[in-house]
Amino acid sequence: MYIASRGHNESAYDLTGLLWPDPPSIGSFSLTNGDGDAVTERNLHGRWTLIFFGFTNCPDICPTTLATLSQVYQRLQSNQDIFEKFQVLFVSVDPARDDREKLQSYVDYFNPNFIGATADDEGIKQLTGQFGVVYFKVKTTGPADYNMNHTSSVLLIDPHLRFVGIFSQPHEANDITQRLVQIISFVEDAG
Amino acid sequence: MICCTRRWTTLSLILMVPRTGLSCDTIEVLDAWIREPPPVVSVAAGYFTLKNTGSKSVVIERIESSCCAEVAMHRVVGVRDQKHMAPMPKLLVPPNKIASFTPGNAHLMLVSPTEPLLHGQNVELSFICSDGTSIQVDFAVVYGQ
Repeated sequence: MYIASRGHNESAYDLTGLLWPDPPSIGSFSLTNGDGDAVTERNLHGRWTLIFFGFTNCPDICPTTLATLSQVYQRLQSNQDIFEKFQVLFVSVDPARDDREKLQSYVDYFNPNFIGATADDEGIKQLTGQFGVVYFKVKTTGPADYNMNHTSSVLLIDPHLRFVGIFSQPHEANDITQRLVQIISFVEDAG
Repeated sequence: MICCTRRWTTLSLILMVPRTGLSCDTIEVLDAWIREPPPVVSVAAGYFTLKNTGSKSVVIERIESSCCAEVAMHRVVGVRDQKHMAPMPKLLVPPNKIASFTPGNAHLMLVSPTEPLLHGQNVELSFICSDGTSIQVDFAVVYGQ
């Protein structure tokens, strides 16, 4: 994985989670949101986007992370310059159980401003493959039938469609907010 | 001679008793809560802190409740961003130790609730120890966190 390293400057080295220099660019992908509208790379253009992959039947990591991201969203409201260009995209890696309506209700529960989207397996891999995100089905013996194992990090895409940051667990709202503002400030200054 | 044989037999029996506690007598469950699940999903997670105040280890064999089709103990394994759930068949708590089930780590998975789990409710769960004894614990359903 990419990490900030000494060499560009000291401040880049200090920013945990910053992927710099030479962040990878995001190519095309196509998902569908709860309204049936397409969500593509064009929806990320001009915005700072946090992307998190999960599934609605996930009992622990997904609701914990989405609740934390909703707190981040609220904290960013005090920084209008960033807030106006900020969005959160939750991508379900379990399209067999997460239809559009269910997915929209799920993200609305945490924050109605969040975008929920998914695609068929090929469409999801078109996006996950660009980040090195991994997901796979794990059969269970109980009534849940199966779980999805998935990368639990939150990814940051800049307005120029570059993958510039990664927030690994544990996720804590104040920590993510602080680092997010620092990374955005650094990338905007660096150009 | 008979006296001494009896003494040795008694001592042998004592030494054969495992260092694992049999009953739930020495455990205390604190901070028990369930995250309210979004209305469209059929799983929820529960969290708690379990204190073993006794001088022997305690084994929780399983946790049961009429609230749900299944209650399972899970732990989160893996490193950094590649973490995933794994079943925890039993929970062993050494003497005078604490086991914490917290978000992003070990948790209870409550599958297919018979009624919606709503903020403000209390749900009773039974912790079953290795001798079949149990303690009942009220879990508060909480929004968010």
